[in-house]
Amino acid sequence: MPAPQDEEMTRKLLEALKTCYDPEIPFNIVDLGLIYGLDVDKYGNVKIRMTVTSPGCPVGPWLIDEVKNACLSVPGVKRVDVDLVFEPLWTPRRMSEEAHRILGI
Amino acid sequence: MFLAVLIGIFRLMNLHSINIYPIFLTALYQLHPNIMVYGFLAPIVMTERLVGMKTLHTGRIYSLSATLMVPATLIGLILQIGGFVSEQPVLISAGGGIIFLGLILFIILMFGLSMKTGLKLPFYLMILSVIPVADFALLSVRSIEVDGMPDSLLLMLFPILFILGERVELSRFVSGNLERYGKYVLSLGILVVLLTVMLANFQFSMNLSMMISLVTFALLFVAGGLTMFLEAKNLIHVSRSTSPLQKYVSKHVMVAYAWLMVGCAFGVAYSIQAPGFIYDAVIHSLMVGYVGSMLLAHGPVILPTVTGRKINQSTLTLIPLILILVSNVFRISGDFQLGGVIQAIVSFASGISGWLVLVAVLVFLRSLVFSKPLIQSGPVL
Repeated sequence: MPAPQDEEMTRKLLEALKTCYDPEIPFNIVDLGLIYGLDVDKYGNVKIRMTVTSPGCPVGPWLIDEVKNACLSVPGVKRVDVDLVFEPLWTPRRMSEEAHRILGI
Repeated sequence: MFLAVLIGIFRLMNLHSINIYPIFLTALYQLHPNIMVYGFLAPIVMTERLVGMKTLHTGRIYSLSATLMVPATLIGLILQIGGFVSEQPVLISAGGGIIFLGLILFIILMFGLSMKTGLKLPFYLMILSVIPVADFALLSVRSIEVDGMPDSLLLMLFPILFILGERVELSRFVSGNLERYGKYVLSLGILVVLLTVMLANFQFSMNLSMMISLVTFALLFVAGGLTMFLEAKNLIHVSRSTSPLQKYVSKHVMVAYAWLMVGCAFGVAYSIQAPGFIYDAVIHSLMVGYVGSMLLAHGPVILPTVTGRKINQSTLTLIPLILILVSNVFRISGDFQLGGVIQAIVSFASGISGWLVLVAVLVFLRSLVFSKPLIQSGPVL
């Protein structure tokens, strides 16, 4: 079981990540299902595994910067490392129910 | 890009009897479309996708293609410019061949990305877009100058169809209609490319040429309209976003689509009238209106990838988009023969409209001045 502090930090980080949006999609990257993994240690080092909707799309570096900015805005976070991965490939199935409903897919 | 824009500006002024002749540019007037496409648009598009190649770690042949395609295209263009200015046909031919090679390498890269990502439809559209511009590179081995609408279409279809491919790429997860309608966009694209290549490479009677041209623009109109339909719902949602960047992007994309429709409508009108005054309206509605607006839309996201610097969203403004709109309205107004004093005023406004495009570019680039480095990373390239 993770320590309560880690859970609280993880919750705050996810809330921060919900302020990050792809430039052309009206849903945040958490609701889009782009965040594959989030780890934070007691020293405030954050590691995120994430993907983008279109592999090979040049939005990657811009989005990574948005993610780092968002995480660094959370008190207690000292460092953020982001791995951009494409395994497994992202599919629209990873989007939240609300996103599916609003976009009609 | 600045070279192509400046050439276009002074050429336009001369066409409207505003007689300023910068000596170093007048020799290149005829090459304005070549420089714009091979010197600016092709390298920009290639560089954008080159980033994808690096993040996906594909095989050696694709890496080699990625490394060589931009230099090949630019070196080929420089050779052609040099050959044109110095009247050396050998250089023009060699340059055309090297540009063709660069474009083939780009097609190889796109196949690699398609296989790696498993995305077929959007990448097939993007690959399709390279065929007409590669055909022009081959034709330019004999004659480098753009000779009428078929040659212009060969060059224009590259950015038009490539961007449509990117919009289809987005549509695959923001539209529930892609499976049903996506194949029609690709089919229409194939027909448009086939007809254009036929028009440019074979001699037809005047009536048949005009018929083929009309059908081509009509099909492009439908393809563009269908792509717009695929992402319409998403665009409307994004335009209501609280994010300044999302509002900025969606407004630009909407205006771009409007120009695509207008440009294709002008193309149909051009095809059923005697060739002449509407030709310019077609070219610049599509290239400045549609392509220009789309470039402005994606610039804030693409530039960080290339420069390693992030644009401050608060510095983004609609001024460049408005300037392009006004420039095109002035320019197109000058293409209609209104007569009398109005024609003189409109002609002057049209003559200087190119400067508005330059100002639009400079206002947009101003955002780079207020940019900041990406966090703990440099440019991807």
